[in-house]
Amino acid sequence: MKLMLAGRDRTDDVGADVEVQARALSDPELESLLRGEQPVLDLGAGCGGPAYIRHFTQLVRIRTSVDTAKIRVPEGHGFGGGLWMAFRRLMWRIMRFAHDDYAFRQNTVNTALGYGLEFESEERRREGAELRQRIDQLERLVRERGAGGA
Amino acid sequence: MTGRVDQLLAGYARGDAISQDARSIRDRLRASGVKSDLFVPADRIAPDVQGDCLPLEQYAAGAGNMVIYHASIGSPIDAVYHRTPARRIMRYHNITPASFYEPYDAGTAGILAQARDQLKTLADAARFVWCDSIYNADELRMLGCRNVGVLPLFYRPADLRTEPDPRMLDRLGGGLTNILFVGRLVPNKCVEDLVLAYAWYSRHFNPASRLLIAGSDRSCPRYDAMLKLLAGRLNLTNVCFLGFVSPTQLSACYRSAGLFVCASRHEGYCLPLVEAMAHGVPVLARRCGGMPEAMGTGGALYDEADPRDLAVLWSRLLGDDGLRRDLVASQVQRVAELDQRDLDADVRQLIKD
Repeated sequence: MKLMLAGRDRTDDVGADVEVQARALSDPELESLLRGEQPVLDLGAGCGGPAYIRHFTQLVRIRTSVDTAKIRVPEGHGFGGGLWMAFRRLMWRIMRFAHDDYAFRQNTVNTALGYGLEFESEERRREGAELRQRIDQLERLVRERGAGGA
Repeated sequence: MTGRVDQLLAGYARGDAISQDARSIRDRLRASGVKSDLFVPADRIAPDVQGDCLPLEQYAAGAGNMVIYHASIGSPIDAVYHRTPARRIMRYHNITPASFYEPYDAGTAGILAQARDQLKTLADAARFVWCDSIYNADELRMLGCRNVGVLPLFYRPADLRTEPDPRMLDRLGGGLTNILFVGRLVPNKCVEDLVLAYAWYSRHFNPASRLLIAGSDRSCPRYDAMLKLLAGRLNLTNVCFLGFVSPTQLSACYRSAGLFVCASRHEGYCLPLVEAMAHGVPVLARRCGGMPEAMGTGGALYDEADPRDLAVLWSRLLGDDGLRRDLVASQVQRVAELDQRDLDADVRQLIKD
Protein backbone atom coordinates (compact mmCIF):
# COMPACT_ATOMS: atom_id res chain seq x y z
CA MET A 1 0.00 0.00 0.00
CA LYS A 2 1.50 3.28 -1.14
CA LEU A 3 1.41 5.55 1.89
CA MET A 4 2.69 9.04 2.70
CA LEU A 5 2.67 10.05 6.36
CA ALA A 6 3.57 13.59 7.40
CA GLY A 7 5.23 14.17 4.04
CA ARG A 8 7.39 11.03 4.20
CA ASP A 9 7.03 7.89 2.12
CA ARG A 10 6.11 5.13 4.61
CA THR A 11 5.08 2.51 2.02
CA ASP A 12 7.82 0.10 3.03
CA ASP A 13 7.23 0.09 6.77
CA VAL A 14 3.75 1.23 7.82
CA GLY A 15 2.17 0.48 4.40
CA ALA A 16 3.64 -3.03 4.32
CA ASP A 17 2.59 -3.70 7.95
CA VAL A 18 -0.94 -2.60 7.17
CA GLU A 19 -1.13 -4.93 4.18
CA VAL A 20 0.14 -7.93 6.15
CA GLN A 21 -2.32 -7.27 8.96
CA ALA A 22 -5.18 -6.73 6.50
CA ARG A 23 -4.48 -10.03 4.69
CA ALA A 24 -4.60 -11.83 8.03
CA LEU A 25 -8.08 -10.52 8.80
CA SER A 26 -10.70 -13.17 8.30
CA ASP A 27 -14.41 -12.78 8.84
CA PRO A 28 -16.54 -15.28 6.87
CA GLU A 29 -19.77 -13.77 8.21
CA LEU A 30 -18.87 -10.25 7.07
CA GLU A 31 -17.44 -11.50 3.77
CA SER A 32 -20.69 -13.33 3.08
CA LEU A 33 -22.66 -10.19 3.99
CA LEU A 34 -20.48 -8.09 1.69
CA ARG A 35 -20.94 -10.55 -1.18
CA GLY A 36 -24.68 -10.24 -0.56
CA GLU A 37 -24.32 -6.46 -0.79
CA GLN A 38 -22.78 -6.53 -4.27
CA PRO A 39 -26.21 -5.88 -5.85
CA VAL A 40 -26.40 -2.64 -3.82
CA LEU A 41 -22.96 -1.54 -4.99
CA ASP A 42 -23.98 -2.53 -8.52
CA LEU A 43 -26.45 0.35 -8.41
CA GLY A 44 -23.42 2.54 -9.07
CA ALA A 45 -22.27 0.43 -11.99
CA GLY A 46 -25.59 0.37 -13.82
CA CYS A 47 -26.86 2.53 -16.59
CA GLY A 48 -28.96 4.93 -14.47
CA GLY A 49 -32.48 6.16 -15.19
CA PRO A 50 -35.30 3.61 -15.12
CA ALA A 51 -32.83 0.73 -14.69
CA TYR A 52 -31.66 2.24 -11.40
CA ILE A 53 -35.23 2.62 -10.11
CA ARG A 54 -36.16 -0.93 -11.12
CA HIS A 55 -33.07 -2.38 -9.45
CA PHE A 56 -33.48 -0.23 -6.33
CA THR A 57 -37.18 -1.09 -5.90
CA GLN A 58 -36.39 -4.79 -6.12
CA LEU A 59 -33.64 -4.39 -3.52
CA VAL A 60 -35.99 -2.56 -1.16
CA ARG A 61 -38.60 -5.28 -1.52
CA ILE A 62 -36.23 -8.14 -0.76
CA ARG A 63 -34.33 -6.29 1.99
CA THR A 64 -37.08 -5.20 4.29
CA SER A 65 -36.80 -7.80 7.01
CA VAL A 66 -35.53 -6.98 10.48
CA ASP A 67 -33.58 -10.09 11.36
CA THR A 68 -33.13 -10.11 15.11
CA ALA A 69 -31.22 -13.39 15.01
CA LYS A 70 -28.26 -11.49 13.57
CA ILE A 71 -27.97 -8.91 16.33
CA ARG A 72 -24.46 -9.23 17.67
CA VAL A 73 -23.35 -8.29 21.16
CA PRO A 74 -19.78 -6.98 20.74
CA GLU A 75 -16.94 -8.61 22.67
CA GLY A 76 -15.99 -6.79 25.88
CA HIS A 77 -12.38 -6.15 26.85
CA GLY A 78 -11.03 -6.84 30.34
CA PHE A 79 -12.98 -7.87 33.41
CA GLY A 80 -15.40 -4.91 33.26
CA GLY A 81 -15.97 -5.42 29.55
CA GLY A 82 -16.66 -9.12 30.04
CA LEU A 83 -19.14 -8.38 32.79
CA TRP A 84 -20.87 -5.77 30.65
CA MET A 85 -21.06 -8.20 27.71
CA ALA A 86 -22.57 -10.92 29.94
CA PHE A 87 -25.14 -8.44 31.24
CA ARG A 88 -26.08 -7.36 27.71
CA ARG A 89 -26.45 -10.98 26.58
CA LEU A 90 -28.68 -11.75 29.56
CA MET A 91 -30.80 -8.67 28.88
CA TRP A 92 -31.08 -9.66 25.22
CA ARG A 93 -32.41 -13.11 26.20
CA ILE A 94 -35.00 -11.56 28.50
CA MET A 95 -36.09 -8.89 26.01
CA ARG A 96 -36.00 -11.14 22.97
CA PHE A 97 -39.61 -12.31 23.14
CA ALA A 98 -41.07 -8.80 23.06
CA HIS A 99 -38.47 -7.67 20.55
CA ASP A 100 -39.26 -10.51 18.12
CA ASP A 101 -42.94 -9.68 18.36
CA TYR A 102 -42.27 -6.05 17.37
CA ALA A 103 -39.86 -7.15 14.66
CA PHE A 104 -42.51 -9.48 13.20
CA ARG A 105 -45.05 -6.65 13.04
CA GLN A 106 -42.51 -4.25 11.56
CA ASN A 107 -41.48 -6.84 8.96
CA THR A 108 -45.11 -7.32 7.94
CA VAL A 109 -45.50 -3.57 7.33
CA ASN A 110 -42.11 -3.29 5.57
CA THR A 111 -42.87 -6.18 3.25
CA ALA A 112 -46.27 -4.76 2.35
CA LEU A 113 -44.73 -1.34 1.66
CA GLY A 114 -41.95 -2.88 -0.39
CA TYR A 115 -44.47 -4.75 -2.50
CA GLY A 116 -46.60 -1.64 -2.80
CA LEU A 117 -43.62 0.30 -4.14
CA GLU A 118 -42.72 -2.40 -6.62
CA PHE A 119 -46.33 -2.80 -7.84
CA GLU A 120 -46.71 0.96 -8.18
CA SER A 121 -43.48 1.21 -10.12
CA GLU A 122 -44.51 -1.67 -12.43
CA GLU A 123 -47.90 -0.04 -12.98
CA ARG A 124 -46.27 3.27 -13.98
CA ARG A 125 -43.92 1.48 -16.36
CA ARG A 126 -46.83 -0.39 -17.96
CA GLU A 127 -48.85 2.82 -18.27
CA GLY A 128 -45.87 4.60 -19.81
CA ALA A 129 -45.34 1.80 -22.32
CA GLU A 130 -49.05 1.85 -23.29
CA LEU A 131 -49.00 5.62 -23.73
CA ARG A 132 -45.84 5.46 -25.85
CA GLN A 133 -47.51 2.78 -27.99
CA ARG A 134 -50.64 4.94 -28.44
CA ILE A 135 -48.54 7.99 -29.36
CA ASP A 136 -46.64 5.91 -31.93
CA GLN A 137 -49.95 4.72 -33.41
CA LEU A 138 -51.35 8.25 -33.56
CA GLU A 139 -48.18 9.62 -35.14
CA ARG A 140 -48.26 6.84 -37.72
CA LEU A 141 -51.91 7.65 -38.43
CA VAL A 142 -51.15 11.37 -38.83
CA ARG A 143 -48.23 10.58 -41.18
CA GLU A 144 -50.41 8.23 -43.27
CA ARG A 145 -53.25 10.77 -43.52
CA GLY A 146 -50.76 13.50 -44.39
CA ALA A 147 -49.29 11.34 -47.14
CA GLY A 148 -52.81 10.40 -48.35
CA GLY A 149 -53.87 14.09 -48.43
CA ALA A 150 -50.82 15.06 -50.45
CA MET B 1 -8.44 51.39 -12.80
CA THR B 2 -11.35 48.97 -12.53
CA GLY B 3 -14.71 50.48 -11.53
CA ARG B 4 -16.57 47.52 -10.13
CA VAL B 5 -15.51 43.90 -9.71
CA ASP B 6 -18.52 41.58 -9.63
CA GLN B 7 -18.64 37.81 -9.47
CA LEU B 8 -20.90 35.28 -11.14
CA LEU B 9 -21.61 32.00 -9.33
CA ALA B 10 -23.76 29.01 -10.28
CA GLY B 11 -25.04 28.66 -6.70
CA TYR B 12 -24.62 30.22 -3.28
CA ALA B 13 -24.86 28.48 0.09
CA ARG B 14 -23.31 28.50 3.51
CA GLY B 15 -20.62 25.86 3.90
CA ASP B 16 -19.94 25.66 0.16
CA ALA B 17 -16.26 26.17 -0.72
CA ILE B 18 -16.88 28.16 -3.92
CA SER B 19 -19.37 30.46 -2.16
CA GLN B 20 -16.84 31.00 0.59
CA ASP B 21 -14.11 31.79 -1.94
CA ALA B 22 -16.32 34.36 -3.70
CA ARG B 23 -17.46 35.91 -0.40
CA SER B 24 -13.89 36.25 0.80
CA ILE B 25 -12.82 37.94 -2.48
CA ARG B 26 -15.81 40.32 -2.32
CA ASP B 27 -15.20 41.29 1.30
CA ARG B 28 -11.53 42.02 0.62
CA LEU B 29 -12.39 44.07 -2.45
CA ARG B 30 -14.97 46.07 -0.52
CA ALA B 31 -12.50 46.62 2.30
CA SER B 32 -10.07 48.11 -0.21
CA GLY B 33 -12.75 50.47 -1.56
CA VAL B 34 -13.74 48.54 -4.70
CA LYS B 35 -17.46 48.09 -5.28
CA SER B 36 -18.25 44.41 -5.54
CA ASP B 37 -21.28 42.12 -5.52
CA LEU B 38 -22.06 38.45 -6.07
CA PHE B 39 -24.66 37.49 -8.71
CA VAL B 40 -26.31 34.09 -8.60
CA PRO B 41 -29.36 32.56 -10.38
CA ALA B 42 -32.24 33.29 -7.98
CA ASP B 43 -33.32 29.65 -7.68
CA ARG B 44 -29.81 28.61 -6.68
CA ILE B 45 -29.48 30.87 -3.62
CA ALA B 46 -29.94 29.06 -0.29
CA PRO B 47 -32.77 30.65 1.73
CA ASP B 48 -30.58 31.53 4.74
CA VAL B 49 -28.12 33.60 2.64
CA GLN B 50 -30.60 35.43 0.39
CA GLY B 51 -29.43 38.86 1.55
CA ASP B 52 -25.76 38.16 0.95
CA CYS B 53 -25.90 38.06 -2.86
CA LEU B 54 -28.02 39.41 -5.71
CA PRO B 55 -30.16 37.60 -8.30
CA LEU B 56 -28.44 37.13 -11.64
CA GLU B 57 -31.15 39.17 -13.44
CA GLN B 58 -29.86 42.30 -11.69
CA TYR B 59 -26.37 41.97 -13.15
CA ALA B 60 -25.61 44.83 -15.56
CA ALA B 61 -21.96 45.68 -15.98
CA GLY B 62 -20.36 48.42 -18.05
CA ALA B 63 -17.22 48.15 -20.14
CA GLY B 64 -15.09 49.70 -17.39
CA ASN B 65 -15.94 46.95 -14.95
CA MET B 66 -14.52 43.54 -14.30
CA VAL B 67 -16.32 40.23 -13.75
CA ILE B 68 -15.00 37.10 -12.09
CA TYR B 69 -16.79 34.02 -13.33
CA HIS B 70 -16.61 30.93 -11.08
CA ALA B 71 -16.64 27.82 -13.27
CA SER B 72 -17.74 24.54 -11.71
CA ILE B 73 -20.85 23.29 -13.54
CA GLY B 74 -23.05 24.33 -16.49
CA SER B 75 -25.34 27.20 -15.46
CA PRO B 76 -27.27 30.24 -16.77
CA ILE B 77 -24.29 32.36 -15.64
CA ASP B 78 -22.35 31.01 -18.65
CA ALA B 79 -24.48 33.01 -21.11
CA VAL B 80 -24.25 36.18 -18.99
CA TYR B 81 -20.48 35.79 -18.83
CA HIS B 82 -20.30 35.48 -22.61
CA ARG B 83 -22.41 38.59 -23.19
CA THR B 84 -20.96 40.95 -20.62
CA PRO B 85 -18.87 43.88 -21.91
CA ALA B 86 -16.89 43.80 -18.65
CA ARG B 87 -13.32 42.49 -18.58
CA ARG B 88 -13.59 38.78 -17.86
CA ILE B 89 -11.60 36.75 -15.36
CA MET B 90 -12.35 33.08 -14.88
CA ARG B 91 -11.90 31.27 -11.59
CA TYR B 92 -11.74 27.54 -12.30
CA HIS B 93 -12.78 25.19 -9.50
CA ASN B 94 -12.93 22.04 -11.65
CA ILE B 95 -15.88 20.18 -13.14
CA THR B 96 -16.67 16.70 -11.83
CA PRO B 97 -16.37 14.12 -14.65
CA ALA B 98 -19.88 13.15 -15.80
CA SER B 99 -19.03 9.45 -15.58
CA PHE B 100 -19.37 9.56 -11.78
CA TYR B 101 -22.98 10.71 -12.06
CA GLU B 102 -24.12 8.59 -15.03
CA PRO B 103 -25.36 5.58 -12.99
CA TYR B 104 -27.35 7.82 -10.65
CA ASP B 105 -28.42 11.05 -12.27
CA ALA B 106 -28.45 11.35 -16.04
CA GLY B 107 -29.61 14.99 -15.85
CA THR B 108 -26.64 16.20 -13.80
CA ALA B 109 -24.29 13.98 -15.83
CA GLY B 110 -25.51 15.75 -18.97
CA ILE B 111 -24.97 19.21 -17.45
CA LEU B 112 -21.46 18.26 -16.35
CA ALA B 113 -20.59 16.81 -19.74
CA GLN B 114 -21.83 19.95 -21.45
CA ALA B 115 -19.87 22.13 -19.03
CA ARG B 116 -16.69 20.21 -19.86
CA ASP B 117 -17.37 20.53 -23.59
CA GLN B 118 -17.66 24.30 -23.19
CA LEU B 119 -14.76 24.68 -20.79
CA LYS B 120 -12.14 25.67 -23.35
CA THR B 121 -14.44 28.20 -25.04
CA LEU B 122 -15.26 29.75 -21.65
CA ALA B 123 -11.61 29.81 -20.61
CA ASP B 124 -10.53 31.35 -23.92
CA ALA B 125 -13.09 34.14 -23.47
CA ALA B 126 -11.33 35.26 -20.27
CA ARG B 127 -8.37 37.64 -20.09
CA PHE B 128 -6.91 35.32 -17.48
CA VAL B 129 -7.93 32.10 -15.74
CA TRP B 130 -7.09 31.68 -12.06
CA CYS B 131 -7.38 28.07 -10.86
CA ASP B 132 -7.56 27.15 -7.20
CA SER B 133 -5.03 24.33 -7.55
CA ILE B 134 -2.15 23.24 -9.79
CA TYR B 135 -4.21 20.14 -10.57
CA ASN B 136 -6.97 22.31 -12.02
CA ALA B 137 -4.51 24.52 -13.90
CA ASP B 138 -2.85 21.46 -15.46
CA GLU B 139 -6.23 20.29 -16.66
CA LEU B 140 -6.80 23.58 -18.51
CA ARG B 141 -3.27 23.64 -19.93
CA MET B 142 -3.86 20.12 -21.27
CA LEU B 143 -6.87 21.55 -23.10
CA GLY B 144 -4.55 24.10 -24.70
CA CYS B 145 -5.66 27.10 -22.63
CA ARG B 146 -3.18 29.92 -22.14
CA ASN B 147 -3.01 32.67 -19.51
CA VAL B 148 -3.63 30.20 -16.72
CA GLY B 149 -2.38 30.76 -13.16
CA VAL B 150 -2.93 29.38 -9.69
CA LEU B 151 -4.36 31.20 -6.69
CA PRO B 152 -5.63 28.81 -4.00
CA LEU B 153 -9.09 29.23 -2.47
CA PHE B 154 -9.36 32.46 -0.49
CA TYR B 155 -9.54 31.41 3.11
CA ARG B 156 -7.47 31.57 6.24
CA PRO B 157 -7.44 28.32 8.27
CA ALA B 158 -7.97 30.36 11.45
CA ASP B 159 -11.30 31.58 10.02
CA LEU B 160 -12.44 27.99 9.53
CA ARG B 161 -12.52 27.43 13.28
CA THR B 162 -15.76 28.44 14.97
CA GLU B 163 -17.27 27.76 18.38
CA PRO B 164 -18.81 24.27 18.44
CA ASP B 165 -22.51 23.73 18.97
CA PRO B 166 -22.81 22.36 22.55
CA ARG B 167 -25.81 20.15 21.71
CA MET B 168 -23.94 18.53 18.87
CA LEU B 169 -20.87 18.08 21.06
CA ASP B 170 -23.07 16.34 23.60
CA ARG B 171 -24.66 14.16 20.93
CA LEU B 172 -21.29 13.04 19.57
CA GLY B 173 -19.76 12.43 22.98
CA GLY B 174 -20.30 9.33 25.07
CA GLY B 175 -16.84 7.81 24.79
CA LEU B 176 -17.15 6.42 21.27
CA THR B 177 -14.32 6.95 18.77
CA ASN B 178 -15.60 9.16 15.97
CA ILE B 179 -14.29 8.78 12.42
CA LEU B 180 -15.42 11.73 10.36
CA PHE B 181 -16.08 12.47 6.70
CA VAL B 182 -17.29 15.89 5.58
CA GLY B 183 -18.60 16.60 2.10
CA ARG B 184 -21.67 16.46 -0.08
CA LEU B 185 -22.93 12.93 -0.68
CA VAL B 186 -22.08 12.69 -4.36
CA PRO B 187 -20.67 9.73 -6.30
CA ASN B 188 -17.12 11.05 -6.84
CA LYS B 189 -16.61 11.15 -3.04
CA CYS B 190 -16.79 7.31 -2.89
CA VAL B 191 -18.38 7.29 0.55
CA GLU B 192 -19.23 3.61 0.02
CA ASP B 193 -15.50 2.84 0.42
CA LEU B 194 -15.67 4.39 3.89
CA VAL B 195 -18.82 2.43 4.81
CA LEU B 196 -17.22 -0.86 3.72
CA ALA B 197 -14.00 -0.05 5.58
CA TYR B 198 -16.03 0.82 8.67
CA ALA B 199 -17.74 -2.60 8.50
CA TRP B 200 -14.29 -4.18 8.97
CA TYR B 201 -13.07 -1.62 11.46
CA SER B 202 -16.07 -1.84 13.78
CA ARG B 203 -16.09 -5.64 13.84
CA HIS B 204 -12.37 -6.23 14.22
CA PHE B 205 -10.90 -3.21 15.95
CA ASN B 206 -13.38 -1.02 17.73
CA PRO B 207 -17.12 -1.66 18.03
CA ALA B 208 -17.29 1.40 20.32
CA SER B 209 -16.89 3.73 17.36
CA ARG B 210 -18.95 5.75 14.90
CA LEU B 211 -18.54 6.74 11.29
CA LEU B 212 -19.89 10.29 11.03
CA ILE B 213 -20.89 11.41 7.55
CA ALA B 214 -21.61 15.14 7.52
CA GLY B 215 -22.79 16.83 4.34
CA SER B 216 -25.81 17.58 2.23
CA ASP B 217 -27.66 14.48 1.01
CA ARG B 218 -29.74 16.38 -1.58
CA SER B 219 -27.14 16.72 -4.35
CA CYS B 220 -27.61 13.17 -5.64
CA PRO B 221 -30.52 11.44 -3.85
CA ARG B 222 -30.06 8.13 -5.66
CA TYR B 223 -26.47 7.88 -4.49
CA ASP B 224 -27.57 8.75 -0.96
CA ALA B 225 -30.26 6.04 -1.14
CA MET B 226 -27.65 3.49 -2.18
CA LEU B 227 -25.37 4.42 0.74
CA LYS B 228 -28.15 4.16 3.29
CA LEU B 229 -29.31 0.81 1.92
CA LEU B 230 -25.74 -0.46 2.13
CA ALA B 231 -25.18 0.70 5.72
CA GLY B 232 -28.59 -0.63 6.77
CA ARG B 233 -28.12 -4.07 5.33
CA LEU B 234 -24.64 -4.41 6.84
CA ASN B 235 -26.22 -3.64 10.23
CA LEU B 236 -23.92 -0.68 10.68
CA THR B 237 -26.01 1.12 13.23
CA ASN B 238 -23.09 3.37 14.09
CA VAL B 239 -22.80 4.85 10.62
CA CYS B 240 -24.40 8.24 11.25
CA PHE B 241 -25.64 10.23 8.27
CA LEU B 242 -25.83 13.72 9.76
CA GLY B 243 -26.99 15.53 6.60
CA PHE B 244 -26.19 19.22 6.15
CA VAL B 245 -24.72 20.68 9.32
CA SER B 246 -24.36 24.33 10.34
CA PRO B 247 -20.86 25.83 10.84
CA THR B 248 -21.15 25.44 14.63
CA GLN B 249 -22.37 21.84 14.31
CA LEU B 250 -19.53 21.16 11.88
CA SER B 251 -17.09 22.56 14.39
CA ALA B 252 -18.53 20.14 16.99
CA CYS B 253 -18.00 17.26 14.53
CA TYR B 254 -14.34 18.20 14.13
CA ARG B 255 -13.88 18.62 17.89
CA SER B 256 -15.36 15.16 18.49
CA ALA B 257 -13.45 13.36 15.73
CA GLY B 258 -10.49 11.07 16.31
CA LEU B 259 -9.73 10.78 12.60
CA PHE B 260 -10.86 12.53 9.42
CA VAL B 261 -11.13 10.29 6.36
CA CYS B 262 -11.73 11.04 2.69
CA ALA B 263 -11.81 8.41 -0.07
CA SER B 264 -12.83 10.81 -2.84
CA ARG B 265 -11.65 10.00 -6.36
CA HIS B 266 -12.06 13.50 -7.73
CA GLU B 267 -11.47 16.83 -5.99
CA GLY B 268 -10.33 20.16 -7.35
CA TYR B 269 -8.91 21.06 -3.92
CA CYS B 270 -11.01 19.75 -0.94
CA LEU B 271 -11.34 22.41 1.75
CA PRO B 272 -12.61 20.03 4.50
CA LEU B 273 -9.11 18.51 4.64
CA VAL B 274 -7.74 21.90 5.69
CA GLU B 275 -10.65 22.48 8.06
CA ALA B 276 -9.89 19.17 9.76
CA MET B 277 -6.20 20.02 9.99
CA ALA B 278 -7.08 23.42 11.44
CA HIS B 279 -9.09 21.65 14.14
CA GLY B 280 -6.17 19.35 14.98
CA VAL B 281 -7.82 16.17 13.68
CA PRO B 282 -5.46 13.67 11.99
CA VAL B 283 -6.36 13.49 8.30
CA LEU B 284 -6.25 10.49 5.98
CA ALA B 285 -7.13 11.01 2.31
CA ARG B 286 -6.75 9.31 -1.04
CA ARG B 287 -3.88 10.77 -3.04
CA CYS B 288 -5.71 12.11 -6.07
CA GLY B 289 -6.90 15.34 -7.66
CA GLY B 290 -6.09 18.52 -5.78
CA MET B 291 -6.01 16.83 -2.35
CA PRO B 292 -2.22 16.41 -2.09
CA GLU B 293 -1.90 20.15 -2.72
CA ALA B 294 -4.42 21.00 -0.02
CA MET B 295 -2.55 18.83 2.47
CA GLY B 296 1.01 19.73 1.51
CA THR B 297 3.31 17.70 3.75
CA GLY B 298 0.62 17.37 6.43
CA GLY B 299 -1.51 14.34 7.29
CA ALA B 300 -1.62 10.95 5.58
CA LEU B 301 -2.23 10.08 1.93
CA TYR B 302 -2.78 6.66 0.38
CA ASP B 303 -3.00 5.61 -3.25
CA GLU B 304 -5.23 2.55 -3.44
CA ALA B 305 -6.56 0.45 -0.58
CA ASP B 306 -9.28 -2.12 -0.22
CA PRO B 307 -11.74 -1.86 2.71
CA ARG B 308 -9.67 -4.22 4.86
CA ASP B 309 -6.49 -2.18 4.30
CA LEU B 310 -8.32 0.99 5.19
CA ALA B 311 -9.76 -0.53 8.37
CA VAL B 312 -6.28 -1.60 9.52
CA LEU B 313 -4.86 1.81 8.64
CA TRP B 314 -7.61 3.60 10.57
CA SER B 315 -6.88 1.40 13.55
CA ARG B 316 -3.16 2.17 13.28
CA LEU B 317 -3.68 5.92 12.99
CA LEU B 318 -6.12 5.96 15.90
CA GLY B 319 -4.10 3.67 18.14
CA ASP B 320 -0.43 4.53 17.51
CA ASP B 321 0.32 7.61 19.62
CA GLY B 322 3.70 8.26 17.99
CA LEU B 323 2.21 8.21 14.51
CA ARG B 324 -0.64 10.47 15.60
CA ARG B 325 1.78 12.98 17.10
CA ASP B 326 3.80 13.04 13.85
CA LEU B 327 0.66 13.53 11.79
CA VAL B 328 -0.74 16.30 13.96
CA ALA B 329 2.66 18.07 14.08
CA SER B 330 2.90 17.96 10.28
CA GLN B 331 -0.62 19.36 10.03
CA VAL B 332 0.10 22.19 12.49
CA GLN B 333 3.05 23.16 10.29
CA ARG B 334 0.88 23.03 7.16
CA VAL B 335 -1.85 25.16 8.73
CA ALA B 336 0.78 27.69 9.85
CA GLU B 337 2.06 27.90 6.23
CA LEU B 338 -1.46 28.53 4.98
CA ASP B 339 -2.11 31.13 7.68
CA GLN B 340 0.87 33.16 6.49
CA ARG B 341 -0.58 33.69 3.06
CA ASP B 342 -1.18 37.35 2.15
CA LEU B 343 -4.77 37.15 0.94
CA ASP B 344 -5.04 40.88 0.17
CA ALA B 345 -2.00 40.69 -2.12
CA ASP B 346 -3.54 37.65 -3.81
CA VAL B 347 -6.81 39.52 -4.40
CA ARG B 348 -4.83 42.39 -5.98
CA GLN B 349 -3.13 39.80 -8.21
CA LEU B 350 -6.52 38.32 -9.12
CA ILE B 351 -7.87 41.60 -10.50
CA LYS B 352 -4.61 42.93 -11.95
CA ASP B 353 -5.02 44.13 -15.53
